[in-house]
Amino acid sequence: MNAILAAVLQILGLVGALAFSVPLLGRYLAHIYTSPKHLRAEAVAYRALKVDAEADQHWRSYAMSALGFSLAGILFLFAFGRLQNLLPLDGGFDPLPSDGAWNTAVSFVTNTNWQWYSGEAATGHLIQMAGLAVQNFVSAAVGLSVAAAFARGLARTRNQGRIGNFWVDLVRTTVRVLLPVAFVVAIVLVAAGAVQNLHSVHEMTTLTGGGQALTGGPVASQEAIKELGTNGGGFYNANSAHPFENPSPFTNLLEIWAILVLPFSMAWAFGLIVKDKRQGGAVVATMGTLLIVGITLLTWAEMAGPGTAPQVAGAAMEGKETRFGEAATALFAAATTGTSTGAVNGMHESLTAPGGGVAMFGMMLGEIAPGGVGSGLYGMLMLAVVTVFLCGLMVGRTPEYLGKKISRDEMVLVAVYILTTPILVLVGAAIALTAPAGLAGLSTDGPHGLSEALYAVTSAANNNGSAFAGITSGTPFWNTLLGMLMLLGRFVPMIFVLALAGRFATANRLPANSGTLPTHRPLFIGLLTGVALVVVGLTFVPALMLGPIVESLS
Amino acid sequence: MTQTPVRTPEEHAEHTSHVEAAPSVLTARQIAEAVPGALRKLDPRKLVATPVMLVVELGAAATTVMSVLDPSVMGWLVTVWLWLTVVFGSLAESVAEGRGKAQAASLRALQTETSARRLHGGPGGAEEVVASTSLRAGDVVVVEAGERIPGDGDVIEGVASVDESAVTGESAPVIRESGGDRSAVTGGTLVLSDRIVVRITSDPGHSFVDRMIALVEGSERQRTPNEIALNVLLTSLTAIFVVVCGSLYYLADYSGAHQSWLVLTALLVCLIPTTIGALLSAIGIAGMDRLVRRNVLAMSGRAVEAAGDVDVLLLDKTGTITYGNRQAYEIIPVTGVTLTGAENAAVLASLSDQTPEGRSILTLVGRSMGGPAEATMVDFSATTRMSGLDSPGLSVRKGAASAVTAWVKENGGQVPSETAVIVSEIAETGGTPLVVAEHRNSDPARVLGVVHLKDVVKDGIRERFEELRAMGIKTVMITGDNAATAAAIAKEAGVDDFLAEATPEDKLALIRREQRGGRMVAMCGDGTNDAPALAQADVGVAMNTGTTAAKEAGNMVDLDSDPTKLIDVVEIGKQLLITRGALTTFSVANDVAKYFAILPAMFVGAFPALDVLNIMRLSSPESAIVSAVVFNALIIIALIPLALRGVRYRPSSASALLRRNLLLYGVGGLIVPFVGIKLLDLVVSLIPGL
Amino acid sequence: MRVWNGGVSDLIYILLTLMCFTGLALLVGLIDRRLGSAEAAADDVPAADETAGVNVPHDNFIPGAAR
Repeated sequence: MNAILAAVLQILGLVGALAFSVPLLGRYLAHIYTSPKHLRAEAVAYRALKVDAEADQHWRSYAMSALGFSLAGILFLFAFGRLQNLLPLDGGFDPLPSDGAWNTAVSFVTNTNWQWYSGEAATGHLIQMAGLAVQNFVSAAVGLSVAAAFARGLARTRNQGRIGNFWVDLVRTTVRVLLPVAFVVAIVLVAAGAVQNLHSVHEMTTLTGGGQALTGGPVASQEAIKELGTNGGGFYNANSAHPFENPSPFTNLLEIWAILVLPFSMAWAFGLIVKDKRQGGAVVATMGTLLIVGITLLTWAEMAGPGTAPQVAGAAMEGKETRFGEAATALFAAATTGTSTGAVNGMHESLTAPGGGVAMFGMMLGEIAPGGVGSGLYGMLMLAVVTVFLCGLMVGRTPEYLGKKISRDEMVLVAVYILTTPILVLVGAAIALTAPAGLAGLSTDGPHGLSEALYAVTSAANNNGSAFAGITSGTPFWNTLLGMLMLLGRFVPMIFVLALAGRFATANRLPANSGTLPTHRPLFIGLLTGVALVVVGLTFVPALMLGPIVESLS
Repeated sequence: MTQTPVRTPEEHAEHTSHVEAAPSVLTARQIAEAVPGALRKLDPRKLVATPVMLVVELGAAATTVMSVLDPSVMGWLVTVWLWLTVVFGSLAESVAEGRGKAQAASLRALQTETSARRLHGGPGGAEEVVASTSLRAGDVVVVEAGERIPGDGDVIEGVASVDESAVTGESAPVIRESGGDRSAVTGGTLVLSDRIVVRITSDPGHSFVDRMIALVEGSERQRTPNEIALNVLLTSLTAIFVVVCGSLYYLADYSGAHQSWLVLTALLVCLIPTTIGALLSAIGIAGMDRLVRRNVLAMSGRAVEAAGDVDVLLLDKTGTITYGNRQAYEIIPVTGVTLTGAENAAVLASLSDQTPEGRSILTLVGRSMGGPAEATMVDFSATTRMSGLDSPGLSVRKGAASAVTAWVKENGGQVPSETAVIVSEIAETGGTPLVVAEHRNSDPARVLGVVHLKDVVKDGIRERFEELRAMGIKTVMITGDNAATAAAIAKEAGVDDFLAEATPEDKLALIRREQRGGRMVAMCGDGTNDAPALAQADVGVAMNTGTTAAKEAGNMVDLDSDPTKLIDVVEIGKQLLITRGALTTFSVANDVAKYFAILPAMFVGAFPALDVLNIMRLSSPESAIVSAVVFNALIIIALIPLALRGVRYRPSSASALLRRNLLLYGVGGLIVPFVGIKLLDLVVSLIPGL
Repeated sequence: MRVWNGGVSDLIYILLTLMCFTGLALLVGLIDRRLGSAEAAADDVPAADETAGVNVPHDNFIPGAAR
């Protein structure tokens, strides 16, 4: 079959599956985040945890709950990593070093899932299941909860800053969405050949007579939530390129679907929560547009991109799995960097220079195409506020989004939100490329070395978690730097989002009329896409110039 | 006498919806006069309010130091142009302020100290002569023909004609009388006839004229909420670019493409939104100024901004929707009189009538006729309520039914019962009947017919309401008429809704109801009983002829007392916001081209491959950077006229406006700098030693 | 693989985490204070500069309206 035709069919199949599942799941999510009823099991859990599930939290309490929950998660995981040799099912591994344990704890709690270590060579089954997998669920749930709270803030009027209940959102997301969907995906993965067991290392002799150690484990279950929750922390170092995690082109497509379905569904749910389906549709369309552009560019770069080796070979197959090919690898790369997943089915280090640049740009967008679970939605809505502000002025009205006026305080919150990640990335890159300990981690110098470092800090600050594998990040310097970037890149913006949600919930809603800027039409979708590209472009083009752009042109 | 531009009523009628460009936006003289003010604004303490320009100034200071320590042609070029960028920015604000100065000067002339005749102990007290500046609120003064009114106040006794042209620009004198809605007088205006007693309502320094001076000079300008929000956005963009340029130093070092701080500073200044940052306050001042040119004084910039957001317009029927004065619609002869006979008499009776009603009768009949010789004109007066003429052998009268009926009876005539029927029929449809009668020789006087005067909807007002509807603004007609009449006129004029038999309380309730629904309401009013509604409305335009209470309650005063202005006010508000948005978009779009100019130039030394991106084919890295800096400074000057005039605005739907402005300022902002920088490069590259 | 490397660095990382979260909590408090005053005024009371000096003859008049 023609490679291009195969690539197109693959994308069409994905789009079809998403078009079918997103509205369904979106409606379900909207119901969960607005229904006053608790399941019996949930009610029992609230009583046991002494949580007042009926309380409608002020944004301040909501934020403090989310922060407190995450802090507890980090401390717990840190202890887990440090003490893993004292616990059962440790697989015979030593405890993680302090900096590594801290980096890993932060990484999984912030939904980044950056892995400085090789999963199969450093972590046992217990920490994988009871530590990391649990955070795969709850860190995703925190993101979705915050997005739901933001949507409710926009939907409410004169509500004194009350935006819902964090604990209820957290429990419902985990129990009613992530667990069941992950269960189904895991079953399908196992059926399609992924591994699921609790075996320890299996020694075997290969055909050539060499020895090989095969590590089995609860792979499929991790794999399901790793993709669904846009986490990306693989059971194996090779991540989704490993045949036990991602055995076939079918599972590859299934995993891409799992990566994309929740971010898109949350955007759809947003439209339902604010009682204007078209608004959700517009957000979905914008995310989709950016993603399609990313997929197209990446596929082009990998199938016909520049570089000597690819030109000779006909395509850039280095670092890709032959069972997937360039197109499926490009598709996976675009999906994983467009969301904050960071799972990989090929080595991003070996992407062609423009391909690597697109992947990086996908993350720099701030994870909005379609972004991490929840974080994609609120990131996009923040940009929507900026767009509304610029364009609202041009129609001669003080700007408003969904009937909420954007005045000074709103603008301050949005502005600092937009500022946070670029500052983290650029300052992080400057530190990494100046400090000797940072330079020591790079596999090469020159533009590609800069790309490695820039990719790492971008990935961390945007809570993606993928990497140019050439980088050696398991050093105290890199672990600490990236840990800080992950932590600040996750929670600082989240606070601004919740504050803005509280502000919107307090404000009155202005009625729309023909003088109001419509925020659901193609014109607005185009503008939002344009603003996202221009704002990010202006911020990162100088840095990209010295990395991927120079690499591409040389 | 005055600098305030004034339009005659005819011009008002012709003036349709569009906010047109003010003439002579920028002259060399204006700029020259603004330079000292601009230099004063360079004080960093004053620039803190606009962080964008503060960063430019700090950058300029830094490059100055660098150029002194390490002189180079490029260093000095960049330094000079960075300083010019800051100066151009403050020049824009200074020019905008300068435009109000001329008006302020003419207003100040009113404040020359005069003496006042204060009545000691209130009305009826003994007179004493004091300086006008020593008057306090509550003092009572007496003013006679030929004297200037010493301060703002209300007439509490008497009636007088007053020349208010110094304040309003309107040369016709106005009547000011005690009680009612025409009691307010303004300090500095001239009493032309009669004697009035005035209770002063303002302390020195707080008078209406003082406030006007402060407003037109812009000294009282406070930044408006939207301006502040935009400033936040611009500040955050600036902060991002500071980090971008700062981190680039280290990234470039790593890449072996070391960049001097001079080049990075130049890059920073090119990237931060200097265009809009420099013009932001000028846009706000110019917006107020555009209102002033229309003889509307906004008490705050907030109000102007709010005007752009108005959702509901409350318009008084009279004077806004209809030609305030009723006009002849038809002439109905009584039985036994020909139509021509009735018409001729009506025309004769109106020859001396200079009121619009009288003239409308001549227009309706469509033929003029000379009056009989030796005729004495009988003018309309409030007591007789008739006008007409007396000549030997013929007297005609036209006027209110009761007055003319009485006149006919006085002169031995009989009034047919038919007359009363016609009169009441006309009155029931909301019209005004005027009875026409004649008295020939020694015959008994007789009624000839009845003139039907009717409210006539203004030409073009219907189209204007349609435009407003397209802009998403709902129009509500306020009238004292009964519901049936109101409905008929509302339908004819095409308003969305009407409030009939409206009392001030009804108006207030209507405004509150709309506001509860989140809508912004604009209205105009003049009476004391309008004050609560004016205060409640988001945009309240008080008529200058109105009471002090009304003027205090509203947030704008229309010196022409023309209620139609409300629509202009809304359009100026929108134009102000659009200008801000357009220039911001332009400013940000410019950055794309600047990247293409500067970035390849910076790194082409270390990475020759980047020359591909030098799509403008600029001659050298140095000239590329200098050209971008020069372009960045010159574009500010080039856009000052646009900032002062405001972008062109035609009422249309939000999407249409957005599409047009995006194309013009977004796409234009992408293209213009490519052309501009390339052209500048051709010149700059000729500089020796660069 | 580096092994157990003592309690000092553990303590440092725990303190680092706590400091970060304290900072985040302070940020929440700071924003809340800044917005808290806005919430109290959320009923759209007009700014003082425009109602000051309004002399309204109606006792039942309540200044209102989003200005």
